[in-house]
Parts: sequence; C-alpha cells; structure tokens
Amino acid sequence: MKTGRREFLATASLAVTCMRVSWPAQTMLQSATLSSEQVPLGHALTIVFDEHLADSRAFAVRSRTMGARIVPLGNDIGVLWFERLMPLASSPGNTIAGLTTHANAFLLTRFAQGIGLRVAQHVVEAHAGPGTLVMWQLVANGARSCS
Amino acid sequence: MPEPDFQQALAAFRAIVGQNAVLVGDGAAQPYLDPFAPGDAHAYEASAIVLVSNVEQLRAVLGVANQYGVPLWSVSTGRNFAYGGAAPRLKGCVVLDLQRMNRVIEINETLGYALVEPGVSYYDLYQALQARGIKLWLDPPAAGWGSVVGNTLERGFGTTPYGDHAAMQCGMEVMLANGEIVRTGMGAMNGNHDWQVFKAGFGPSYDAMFMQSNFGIVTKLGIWLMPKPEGYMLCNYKFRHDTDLESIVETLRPLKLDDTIQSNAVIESAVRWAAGVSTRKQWYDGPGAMPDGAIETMTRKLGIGRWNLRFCLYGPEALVNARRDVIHQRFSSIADTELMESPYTLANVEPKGGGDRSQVGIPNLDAFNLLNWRGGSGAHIDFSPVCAPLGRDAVRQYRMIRDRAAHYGFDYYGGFTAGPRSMHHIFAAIFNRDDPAQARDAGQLLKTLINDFGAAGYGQYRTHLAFMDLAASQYDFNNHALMRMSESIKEALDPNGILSPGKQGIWPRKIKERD
Repeated sequence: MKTGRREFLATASLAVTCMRVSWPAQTMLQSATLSSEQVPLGHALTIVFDEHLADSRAFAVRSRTMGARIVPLGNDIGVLWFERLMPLASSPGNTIAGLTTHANAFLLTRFAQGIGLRVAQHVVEAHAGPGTLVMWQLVANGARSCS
Repeated sequence: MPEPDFQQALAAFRAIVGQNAVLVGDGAAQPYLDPFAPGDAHAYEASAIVLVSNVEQLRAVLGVANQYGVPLWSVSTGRNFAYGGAAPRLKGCVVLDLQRMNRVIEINETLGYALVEPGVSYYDLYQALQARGIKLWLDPPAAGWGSVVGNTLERGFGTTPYGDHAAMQCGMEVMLANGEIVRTGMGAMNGNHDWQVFKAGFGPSYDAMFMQSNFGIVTKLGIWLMPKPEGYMLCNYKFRHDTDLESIVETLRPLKLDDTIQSNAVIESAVRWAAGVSTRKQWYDGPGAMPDGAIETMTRKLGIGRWNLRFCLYGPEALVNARRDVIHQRFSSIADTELMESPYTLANVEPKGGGDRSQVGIPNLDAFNLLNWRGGSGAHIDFSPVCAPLGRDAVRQYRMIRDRAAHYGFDYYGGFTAGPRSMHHIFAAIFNRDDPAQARDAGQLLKTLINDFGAAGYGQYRTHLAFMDLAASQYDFNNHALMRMSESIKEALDPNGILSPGKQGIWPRKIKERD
C-alpha cells in the first residue's frame, strides 16, 4: 500500500530529525526487530540521497531544512564511501542515513558492517516510481579498523 | 570439537591478535553470513572470526588451529558475493579474515606490476595508483570492492586486455598449514629481483595450485598492470534478434584470436542490460519468467538489442580507428545491427557509466544494480559454465539455461565474457531473499543446471558454496582422478585439515571419513 506523498515525506523526515522518535510507523516495516531503532541524541546527521529518485531528493531537501547535512550518491558509490562517508563513520557521534534503492542500501550497509558500525534498515514503498526503497541508518560508535 | 577445547583455542587466538580481533557470540558472525544464500544462510555460519594483521600473527594462529584441530576458512575481504561471500563451506569454521593485511608493497611503473597483500581492494590499488600519479591501469572485476588477491585466486575476470586475472598473476608468497612461508617462481631465490616479471622460476610451478584451493594461504601476490594507453574508444553494438547470438560469437572469435579486439568482449542479454537501468516491474509484473513479447517491448523502448556487445579499443588514434574499421566491417554483415562507438577519448578523460569505467581500469559497483531488478531484498547466485567461443556452443548453453530458468520462474539474466579461446558464460538467478520459495527455487535451479551441463560435457569455472561438491563431481575423467590427486596433496600439506575444508569440493581425509 502506498502512502501519500506528503505523509511519506513527513514520516520519513521525522525518522531522522526527531532524534528520539522511532522509525515511521506509517511506512511499510519489514523488520519488526528494528522498528524501535532510534537516532542517538547529540549525533550529527548526514543524509545520503539518490539524485535520480524523486522521493529520495525530496527526503533530502526536507532533512536539510531540519538541520541535516545532505550528500548525493554521485557517480561512484565506492568513492563516496571511501572519501566522504567512511571518514565520518569512523568518528563517534555521527549518524549517516538515507533513502535509496535496495542495491545502494546493500552496498553502503555492507561497507558499514565491514568497519563494525551498527546498521538499521526498513523497506518502504516508493511514492514516485515503481518498486520499493530502503531507509537505512549507520551509527558510528567508534568503528573498528577498516579496509 | 569439544567446547572447552574451542574456548581454549579462542583464548589463544586472543593472545595472538588481541581481544578486539576475535569476534564471537552476540551476532559477531552475522556480517560474515552469506547475504545471498539460496536457503538458510545459517547452514554456512562461522563459529567465530579471527582478524590477523601480519604473517607472524597468521603463523601463530595456524599453530593454535593445528594444536586444537580448529578448521579455518580464510577470506581476503569476504566480498565473494553470489558465490557465498565470507561464509565458510563447513558450518562452525572460524573465519580467518585477512583484511587487515592491506599493504600495497610495491608498484613498479617501469615493469608494470604491483605486489599486494590480501586486504588490498581494487579501490585501494586504484587510489594508490592515482595518488602516486602512476601511469598504469588495473583491471577491475564487476564488483570493485573485492580483494585483488581474493579475486585473482578465484580466477575472476574483468574487461580490459588484462581481464584474465589468473593469467596476469606473477609470483606468490604462501603460508602453508605448518606455518612455513614459500615464495613461488623467482621469489624462491634470495636476492633475485624478477619475482613479479617471470612466472616460472626453475623447476615445477605451483602458483595455480593455490588458486581455488585449500592448500595454503596466499599472503602476497604479484599482479601485472596495463600501461596507460594514449587513448581509448568504447564500442557498443546492438543486435536486433535473439537468433543473432551464433553469428555474434562466430564473428567475434577471429577478432579476439588475432587481438584486433584487445579487451575482453562482453555479450549481454537484453535483461542483463535492462537490469542496470530499470526494474522488472516496469516491463512485466506477471507470474513466471518474462515472456518474449515483454522482452521485445522492453528492448525497443530502452533502445537496446536482444544481444548487446561491448568492448574497448586502446592506443594511438590512428591504430584505434584502423581496428574499429575492421571490426565494423565484419559485424555489419549481421542484419539490423546497430554499431555504436564513443568518440576517441584521451586516456585521462573518465567515462561515466560503471561498465565503461571498468573498461578503462576504474573500479566501481554499478553491477549491483541487478539487485533492484526483481524487487524486494534482491539477491543472486551465479551459474558460471565455461564455453568455447563457438556459436553453436553459445546458443546451446543459452537455450539450456533460458529454458530451465523459465521452468523455475527466472528470467535469463546472462551473458558471455569472451577471451581469445574461451568465454565465461555467467547467468545470475536473481531472487528476493525475503521470499523463501524464490530462494529455494534459485538453489534448485542451480543444482539442475550443474547436472544438465555436466551431462552435456560443460563444467563450471566457479560456484557457490552450496554447490561446490556437485560442481567438482562433474570433473570425472578416469573416475575423478583429479580430485584424488587434490586430496593427496591436501593430506600431504595439511594433515590436520585446518585450511578451508570443502573448498572447491576438496575435503580433508578426517572429515571425509567422518561423514
């Protein structure tokens, strides 16, 4: 079941900006065990968005108005990870989140697990375009060594 | 093994590598589970993880494993997705993770090679080349985050002229199960400087013995790198008809054999191409495999071929143009073919698309777009038979896979990567891993295909953990004489059977007898 666009954006943004609020209840949660995952208080928030997806772009714009730093996926997700996200993720006090395709969520969460980050993710129905998107977050708790 | 022994072994591992480099309990092994398992991933779950940082630690860990009989499963960076990831063949093995051994030991621009440790990824090596301004290109596999050592040992491949990774390997350092270090080829000689330029050395050569095997742990590996050319031209041909495959292969073979086409050439099915830029639901949302009519509509709307050929030409512009003219002339004999090429481009100008970037030595991860094809939590396992570059064999293999895949409800997402004398035929069974029935069917399909192809005289170059025994059993000349020889070598080099039991179907005697 698809959510309305306004509802989709509101709930999605709520998840990453209201630091003590759980992931959006209205979105289609596929992992009940993660439904209470929260963005830790006091963490700097970075939102990764996919320039090619309307929902992801809108999500990023909304997040930016609420104080998050936003970063586009760009041309090479590996370069993005090694040059921008991994340095952030390797220092405590940072949370990185995003709304992307499953493939990009898979890549970033595998990168994150490789350096010992906590990962949470939820599948949500896209409002614009076919298929599903994945909302994910990576929480740096002082990552272990990375490759 | 008895729990007290296992706990003592873990304590000994911690004493060697440190408390934080032994991961056990509390979900520690979860990141090492196969995310694309065609069934229960826990059937291949590790009991613990040990991360070593150098050969001294590695030797000490092997000593403990020998003492307590702990089976280890070594991984370089554990990115062997579609074939099992970092998960061990034998449940309960301790994963020996080498990702912290990540030094680029040498890059030699004059002779065109690098010497690296297992934890060096293609991204790492690429960054090292860029940072030092070295005019050499590496050859990335489809997934650039993998280990150079790991991919080479698995005989992975890419799409530049250096695309046969095993063939570009020169010189290894290997730790045997007893902790002894061996260097192959010229590396066996103290004071010699030709380790990475002459493969053979003196007497028997052993490098290939440590590929896709469990006879030792490779701790350093030499890999040849391609001199950066003056420029390049990306070529992309679209073939209108499903029946064109035979003509494509027959036309391509002589051009590869005489090196007119320098790079590995990739022949991709319509679905494989479409999965990089769209999702299945956009074209078909019904039960079973995509009908031919839906594929036809999809190809027209996307402006792609039923088969698509891409390759790259390298060198000075005059030479590239001359090659291009010969190739165009040959392929223009196939009806309704669209021959496209990028303008000749200087080597320091990077293309944008992932497949194009791979052909000019830039690692990327665009191949993972296939995970979006089927919807849900996309996953895939690959069926990877070897195919001679003969049209009749390519067509036969294609039809065998397409028909079996359709029977199980899967689209033919496949293609051939062509070298001069062989092709890797790769078919990905894409499934939603949250759907147990789809995952089970993907596994069943793979088993059926391995048996079908074995009966037809075709073998795999690589396979998922779950099918290693089955794939190995197809190599049955003289009642499996090759496997008996492998088992003899295993017994001689690793009598306690601690190294990667079951890898490529090679089991230590004590486990084989027990089971």
